[in-house]
Amino acid sequence: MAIARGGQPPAVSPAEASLRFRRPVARLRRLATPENRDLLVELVRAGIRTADHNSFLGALWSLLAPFIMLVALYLVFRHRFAAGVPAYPLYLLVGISLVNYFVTATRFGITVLFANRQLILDSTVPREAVVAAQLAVHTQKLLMEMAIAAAFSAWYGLFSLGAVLTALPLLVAYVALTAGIGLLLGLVHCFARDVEHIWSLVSRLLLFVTPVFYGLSDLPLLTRALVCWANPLTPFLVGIRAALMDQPVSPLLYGYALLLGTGALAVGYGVFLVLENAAVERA
Amino acid sequence: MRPGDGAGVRPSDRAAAASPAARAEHLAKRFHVLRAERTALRALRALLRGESLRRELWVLKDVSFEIARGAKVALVGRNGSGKTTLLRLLSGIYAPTAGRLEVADRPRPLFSCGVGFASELSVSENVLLFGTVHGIRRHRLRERRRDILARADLAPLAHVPVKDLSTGQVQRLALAVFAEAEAEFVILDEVIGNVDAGFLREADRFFRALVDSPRTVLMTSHDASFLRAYCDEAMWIDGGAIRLHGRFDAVLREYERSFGEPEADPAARRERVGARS
Repeated sequence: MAIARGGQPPAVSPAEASLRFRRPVARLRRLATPENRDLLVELVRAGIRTADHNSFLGALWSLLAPFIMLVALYLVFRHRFAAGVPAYPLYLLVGISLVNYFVTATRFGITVLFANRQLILDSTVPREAVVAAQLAVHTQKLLMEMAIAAAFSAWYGLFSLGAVLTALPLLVAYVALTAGIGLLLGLVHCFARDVEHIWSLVSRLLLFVTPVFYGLSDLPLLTRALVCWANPLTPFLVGIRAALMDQPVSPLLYGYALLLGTGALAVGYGVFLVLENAAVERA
Repeated sequence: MRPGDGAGVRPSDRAAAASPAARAEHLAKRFHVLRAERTALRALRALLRGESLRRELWVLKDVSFEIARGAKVALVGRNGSGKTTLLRLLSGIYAPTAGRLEVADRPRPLFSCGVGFASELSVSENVLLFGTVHGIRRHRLRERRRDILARADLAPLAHVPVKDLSTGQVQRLALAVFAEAEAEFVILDEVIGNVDAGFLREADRFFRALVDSPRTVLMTSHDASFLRAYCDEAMWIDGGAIRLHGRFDAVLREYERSFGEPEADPAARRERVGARS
């Protein structure tokens, strides 16, 4: 009979084994295995099926909310801000959809590790898959809203396939921005629950500090610069909106948006790789 | 007997069996636990006084063992002794704090029969969800769905939401789906808690097939007779360290005898149970 050693906490160095948890390429490759692709599909399906479960209007609720907001903002602001805009309802719809997506997805992102703690600790499901599935549920709704916005654009005679295709990288970068910020918030939330309350306040302000119902040209110069360059949502809003309204996009703003999206995702995922174990254990 | 001496290994697998399924050397796992509930006021006070709000808790201290390929091993120990933490380390869910851990085949663990289900979705839909959570391909689950539901005795309830099933029924469904998982190393943590005798007989086929296969199996249960039926080797974990590892009967005898002894560190155990629950 073998008697194994026991006793005091070890004097040996931190395990090399833990390093395998921080190799992003290997982890992303693992995420792409057929088993994990199947898992992702099922997690997204379950997320979509349960999101509006037991509600009378089902998935229509997700579309109804931005349209109610569109009507309200249109009625309140059309005299003040609609003058210089060729299709103000479309202008509003794109702004509302993008800001709503960011706010909702990041709010869910805050609790994703906390809410899925048991799944993460009691199975070998890649943690990235849990986060990605959650994001995909919201992204699917955003894509539906963007499709409706494209239909609006065609109705106004502003639709240009070339412009819309140019905006696709912006949309991908916007999802990346949301994923990166959501990941960071989700990690912080595991250590301090207050972040949920703070983010709930901050996200309410986003509707006002982002040019959703007003244009950048309506703002004084300094405020305009702040809203444009300090608010990470603005470049995406301006770029995607311009594409759907067949207007030119500033290459500087376009590049800045792509940089913001990829940068936020890289930073968010980098921090996630470093902190995920500590975060999940504390969640 | 050396731990896991070739139990259930076919001659063709001998070459592979030469390397162990898992080997741990001085493995340790530390958690940080809060001294008290975290509030802004306590955090501020701790900051001003230079105190820490948390302290270290070594759940596993110095764990060394080797599990041979094909071995059927029972992991026994009291509540809070570090069994689940060790299984999570082996499964790659936790990262070790110190020491070395080598696992040859990616283990497929089943920790909780309730995790991996979406309670609002139907039993039938959950076969796919729970199965993919445990690494089973969708096409296989679709093909086998009818058999899985029949095996779990839930075919008439296929369209009922999982939230309307009893705990035992959920457990039956979980085991019936998990039986489809193909893995060389299977980890089972307390999976027979609420099932009835009828399903246990049915589950016996699953466990018997596991035992007769060349797979490596590591399982925990507080039911010694269940473990005795399927394991020929046991590891006794106590106070975050392996106390005994060897032939099942010998380890179990010592383990059961220990219930008359005072625990190695009862205060630490209570804290571990509290911290992990």
